Amino acid sequence: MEPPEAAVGVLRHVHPLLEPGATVLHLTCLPVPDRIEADGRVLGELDQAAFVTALPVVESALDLLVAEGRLAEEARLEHDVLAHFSSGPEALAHFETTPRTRVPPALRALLRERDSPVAQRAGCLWRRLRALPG
Amino acid sequence: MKRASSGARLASVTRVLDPEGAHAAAARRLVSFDGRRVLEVGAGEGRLTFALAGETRSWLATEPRAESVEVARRTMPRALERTVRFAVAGGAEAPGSPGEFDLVFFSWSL
Repeated sequence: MEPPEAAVGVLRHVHPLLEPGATVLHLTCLPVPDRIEADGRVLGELDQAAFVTALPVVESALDLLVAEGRLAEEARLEHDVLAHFSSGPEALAHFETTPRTRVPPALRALLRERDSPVAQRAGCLWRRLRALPG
Repeated sequence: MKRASSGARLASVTRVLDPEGAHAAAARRLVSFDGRRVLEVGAGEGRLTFALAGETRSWLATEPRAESVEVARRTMPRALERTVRFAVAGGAEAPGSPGEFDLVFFSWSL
């Protein structure tokens, strides 16, 4: 997997700004589609295939600097995060402007009819790395 | 959370991201921010900046979108004014001198 040039460029620019032993903290999304929930049940999942497939590519930029001996991986942590909307149509309006996100027809129909709160549950991945000299 | 710029939000949409504070809690489980000299790449409107910078010695928050930086500067808590600076810059242009920072924080910004 070829890491994106822009991401590698950012890491190579930032690395000299760090003192040896500095902490590198990286937050991104897990490569799974976001779930839409209401009243404690899952209404459906967003179609984020285009986005999800891009995530490991971004991660590979960090992996490249690990392979180069500039960073050392120390820890990973996964957790969920929620975004809240006051109604289904509000959530739908937001998703329609979210890049690389589509709302499947069945979920769209449920959201259109729902005038009470809904939540978007996403998986997050944190990586903690250590900056090595050089 | 699949990232959508706040600029893409519809004005009529009220979306409240992570009022539970899950992101900041997870960050604190991984690292102590106490006394750190932090460079943040991709600060957006400062949501995580404001949640985490209080314990640090200094926090330079960079963000390429000028409109987001404007919002962040306008909404920054007064208690953080001596600690946090914002700069309009992409990650590859983040300002700083060699060895200036002991923590860099990328939030959906690579």
